[in-house]
Amino acid sequence: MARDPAHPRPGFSRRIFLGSSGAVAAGAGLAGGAQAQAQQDPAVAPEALSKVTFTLNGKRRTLAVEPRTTLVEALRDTLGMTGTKIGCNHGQCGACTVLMDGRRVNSCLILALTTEGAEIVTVEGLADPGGTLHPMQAAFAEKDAFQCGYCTPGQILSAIGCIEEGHAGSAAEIREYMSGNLCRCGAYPNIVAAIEAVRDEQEG
Amino acid sequence: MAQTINTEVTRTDARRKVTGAAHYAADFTPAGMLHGALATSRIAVGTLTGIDTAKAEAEPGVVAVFTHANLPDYKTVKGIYSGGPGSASFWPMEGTAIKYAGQPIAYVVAETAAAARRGAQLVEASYEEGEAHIAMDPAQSFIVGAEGDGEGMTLTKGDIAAGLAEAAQSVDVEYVTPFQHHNPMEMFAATAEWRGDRLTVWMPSQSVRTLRHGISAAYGLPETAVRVISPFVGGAFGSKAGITPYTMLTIAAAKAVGAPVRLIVTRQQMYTVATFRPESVQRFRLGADASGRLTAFEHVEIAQTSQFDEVVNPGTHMTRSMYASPNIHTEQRLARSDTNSGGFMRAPNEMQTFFGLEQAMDELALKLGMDPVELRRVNDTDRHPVAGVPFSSRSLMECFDAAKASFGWADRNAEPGSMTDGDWLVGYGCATATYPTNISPSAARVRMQATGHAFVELAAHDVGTGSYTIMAQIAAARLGLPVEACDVVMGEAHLPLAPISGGSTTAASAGSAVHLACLAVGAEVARQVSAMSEGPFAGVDPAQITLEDGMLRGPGGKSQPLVEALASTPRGEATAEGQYRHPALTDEALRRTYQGGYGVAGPVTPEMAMFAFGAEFAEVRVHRWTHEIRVPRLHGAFAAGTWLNRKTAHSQLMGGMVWGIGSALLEVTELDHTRARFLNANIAEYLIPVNADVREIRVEMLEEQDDYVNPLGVKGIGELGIVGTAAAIANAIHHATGKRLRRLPMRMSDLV
Amino acid sequence: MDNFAFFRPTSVAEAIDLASGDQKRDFLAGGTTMVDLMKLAVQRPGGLVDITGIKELESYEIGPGRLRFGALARMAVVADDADLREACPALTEALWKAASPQLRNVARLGGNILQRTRCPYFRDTAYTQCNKRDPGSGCAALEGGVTSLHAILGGSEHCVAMYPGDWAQALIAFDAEVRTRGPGGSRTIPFADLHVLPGDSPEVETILEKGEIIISIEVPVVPAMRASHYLKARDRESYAFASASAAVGLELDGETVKDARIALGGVASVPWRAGAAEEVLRGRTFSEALAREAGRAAFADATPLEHSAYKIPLGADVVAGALMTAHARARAGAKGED
Repeated sequence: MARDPAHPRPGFSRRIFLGSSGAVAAGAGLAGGAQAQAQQDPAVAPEALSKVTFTLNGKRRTLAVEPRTTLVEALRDTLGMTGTKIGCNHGQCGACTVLMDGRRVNSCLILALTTEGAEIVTVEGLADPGGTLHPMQAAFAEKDAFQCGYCTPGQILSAIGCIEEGHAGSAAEIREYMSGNLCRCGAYPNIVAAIEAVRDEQEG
Repeated sequence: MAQTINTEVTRTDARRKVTGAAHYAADFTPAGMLHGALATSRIAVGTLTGIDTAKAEAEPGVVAVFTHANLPDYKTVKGIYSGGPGSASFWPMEGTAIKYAGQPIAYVVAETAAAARRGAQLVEASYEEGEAHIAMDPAQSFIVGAEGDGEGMTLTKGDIAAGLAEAAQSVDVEYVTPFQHHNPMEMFAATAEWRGDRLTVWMPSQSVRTLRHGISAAYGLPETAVRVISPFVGGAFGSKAGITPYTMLTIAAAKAVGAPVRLIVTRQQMYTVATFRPESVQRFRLGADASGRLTAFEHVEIAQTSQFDEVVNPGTHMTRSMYASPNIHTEQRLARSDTNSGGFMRAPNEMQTFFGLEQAMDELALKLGMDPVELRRVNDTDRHPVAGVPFSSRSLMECFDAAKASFGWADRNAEPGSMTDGDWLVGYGCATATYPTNISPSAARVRMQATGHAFVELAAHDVGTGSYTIMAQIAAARLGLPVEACDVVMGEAHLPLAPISGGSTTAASAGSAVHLACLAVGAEVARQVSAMSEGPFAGVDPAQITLEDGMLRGPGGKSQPLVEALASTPRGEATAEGQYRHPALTDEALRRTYQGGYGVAGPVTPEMAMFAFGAEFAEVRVHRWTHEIRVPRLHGAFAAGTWLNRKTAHSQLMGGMVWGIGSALLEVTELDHTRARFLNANIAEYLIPVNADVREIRVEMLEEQDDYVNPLGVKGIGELGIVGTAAAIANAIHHATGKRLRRLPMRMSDLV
Repeated sequence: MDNFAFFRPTSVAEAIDLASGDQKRDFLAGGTTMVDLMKLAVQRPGGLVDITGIKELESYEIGPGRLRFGALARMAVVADDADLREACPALTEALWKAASPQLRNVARLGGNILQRTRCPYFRDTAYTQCNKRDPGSGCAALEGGVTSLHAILGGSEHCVAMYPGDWAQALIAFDAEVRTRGPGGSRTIPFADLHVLPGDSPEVETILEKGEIIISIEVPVVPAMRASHYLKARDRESYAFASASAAVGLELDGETVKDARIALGGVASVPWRAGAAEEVLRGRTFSEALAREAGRAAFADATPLEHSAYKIPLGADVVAGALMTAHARARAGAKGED
């Protein structure tokens, strides 16, 4: 929903400013200044929207974001792809994990503008177009590797990354290298079992 | 027909959860939606003397800023512990009073979440600060409900002094448990959309009817005008039951700005805008004769509460149900301090009280020179120690014996500090688990079609517990359909009554309603086929036709699959509702439940005492150099009546045990006593277990038949697994190190 | 979070120009600390200069005489390097025991060593007293706060915030150097000089100047590296900051300690070299008793705060335990060479 604050929200003309006076010299002046600065520098100015293009689940996407917009906000709010969850917004829980250029990352700490040209994979991009689940998705379902399911998209992407990185050699290694994904329901042993099953399948 | 009950069934919502297609509250975005953010109080006690919203309003994208001065009116409701639907009885932004740190003082609405959050940071407030006490003072505690004492908040049976006098050994010990926060992975969120006088609220909820009731009361709306939607809940554990200020403020803001508004509460704010597990002190005095039989049992619990609610989760009711003793004295006390109101968090009293009781039993066993398992055995009882009624079923020692064998307890050298492995000190410990069987009234509607499909509808919730799946299993078993042919709709308030998903009630209560609704579908089909001119049941008295595992059976050995019978009827569809009420449920409890509250039968009825039991064994390792405490093995055996789904039940019990590890070793909400704020209000420094903390967890699920609890014979298991874990670990730490840790969490700093 | 101007230079020179051009601009590398603190409104840069486009800073080399780590090498990549694990296990252990796999995939080494404190009073802007955040405002930790996570070494009456990082301990133990370039040219900074004690200006954390960018971190190879170890004590098994940690290395001649390196984490205001403890060991015959003596010596000058006294015995035991492992590694190495 990011938009240029200089332009009122479509269909919402009533601005309510209760409780104190003044307030909204906002819009035009600031945005004008920002545009001027943008012309001088190879930069994105504060409060201006800037375009960023990345590949999302195999498709090129271009969107306009504020400098402060994080990748998870761009996914959820700008693109409406809500499979990626926010659990803390500070890189402390791993719920927002996505793959970026093949690496698992916390999308809440990634500024969207820094994903220019990157390949992003979210939970929505794992099953094949025919609906067949990715082996990790199938293993999570089969092993009951979740309860509430909220951390699950992040767990699954992290699990894929864990094997890709070569850190799924043993149960102990999986536990250590899956410790960036909190699961408050306590499904950890089943998560480990799911990853072992997929690892064995891939090796077999 | 494959067996659908007491077997392993993969969750029916698994596909949605692994593909990101399960929609949680913050995933619904009504058209034109704006974003909310809370500004909260820096101080804990005092008065707001000024609030300047100019900078917030000037922030680009900010649409409106609400404070107590301009917030639309609504009628506030009482907190759950004061008989209302609220998470607490005090409502912020109604005036200038500040009663806890982190109390909402302003609500910012903006075009983006980022702008709203920045706007909230820019709200400037000034205060007249009062003196705050965030930690309770046990010396200021008071007995709850002293007048009349209808709920048995104090109880004396026999003579404690005499019991202690005749004891061969006794212990007099105090255990301390901290503030803890639920920290579900899903952040609190609420989205409100008004369309004229009709309101829709998306919010993760473990009680959609409580929510609807509270909102209707607040806005003077008929309940039919309020829709509450919560199909998936990203963990709750007690945190998402009552209606909270952040919800009410979001509804108010949406009304004022004339557009839908969504608020996602920050992780830090989650520590103050909803409930938590209050800190407590547990004092036990136990006496036993030389054979180990208890001669005296005294438990005084002092728990923290706020200045505006009496949050009592009566732990003494639980502990005094546990072991036989001729002399019993219990007191339920509270002490106030300046926080928001606490509430219920997974095993709301049992985690704390059994951390105390089961360590006290271990300390007593050591003094007696008895094996701790045998001390439990000699004090086991088939009658409730206070009420005198029999237990409807009680498999405590079967659980101990099963877990003891699986764990290898026989290998234990009883001498503390005697077992080592390299740089690790090794200890074994065990403890009892128990949880009351609370049975709520519940209803469900089932519509079956001749195509072999059924719709099951009820206002229950799947907070990760597997409710969607077990309701489908129950329907499948009764109607003779595959599980995947039974579509379960839950998590909306307009559906038939179901209880709060709390107190481990849902499977037993709502499951029984689904069971009865299916039988009612059978009766409806029986009525239809008996009225027909042909077919096996034509002309048969419908009262003589029963439904058994998908087959209609009548006199003379007549039988027909239900789905076939249904197909023979002109409508080809039958709908019926089931209303379940335990015979011991009072009218008052029934009324309370229909009003969105918590009304249950049990755990002690005039005829029976209903509890689930378990035994947990822990291996603990303490590192010689780092003093780190690790739990490489945790074995639990549990008996809780009928197992509906062995896969999801296993996960629930295992998850409870993981919570036990967290409570034992990690979880504490730290207090800044000087300024009365929670210090580690995040999930980096509020430590919950990570994958590496959880190694071998073995769960054994024993068979147990109980025909009294409900038609399904089910007891709740959502909380059973956490009870006793912390004590088993504490006992194992003592065994490993010789050090007795009586304060949670138990950390390396306690062992240096 | 405030909005900010965003720059994406592709060369070091351009980055320095951009960052030094405006007092309110900051470098952005992995951003795992920066974005976190910006969300909390603890850091509010007016502009961010994203240097991750400067690909030349990503490389690293494990040479026979010198280790060189580009400032933008990723923690996860270096942590997994088998050659480095053999050359100096403490350097890989201090990386993989830090943070989480996701954070290590993003965080860069240059940013990692500049990690900022987890002091709750620093991170929560509701506290008006924080000399680090707002110079001269006071210190909520020292004025009646909870100090269980604060520094017992290197603190001042103005600030006892703890340096939370891990890798820096292994670097300081082995005399690393930091190569930088800034508006005033290039320089090499001994790692021990990079961070500055809080003293009376806790807002100043390093000697880096405005617009000065870390190019690389270099470590001369010494024999004690092979028998090194990073021991991190924490209540949670993973994804947790150290309650106490030690980076140690030993070089033995028979059982006589020829060289000893000890640095302490989770206890000090800055990365902390325990020189006195090293002196206890040098030239003496290694034993468990000697390891314990060194551990005690490492904390001889510690000042316990109200809630952090436990860190003294804990830290001493962690040092001793780390030395025991380093000793075992030295012995195994000696056997391997025979």
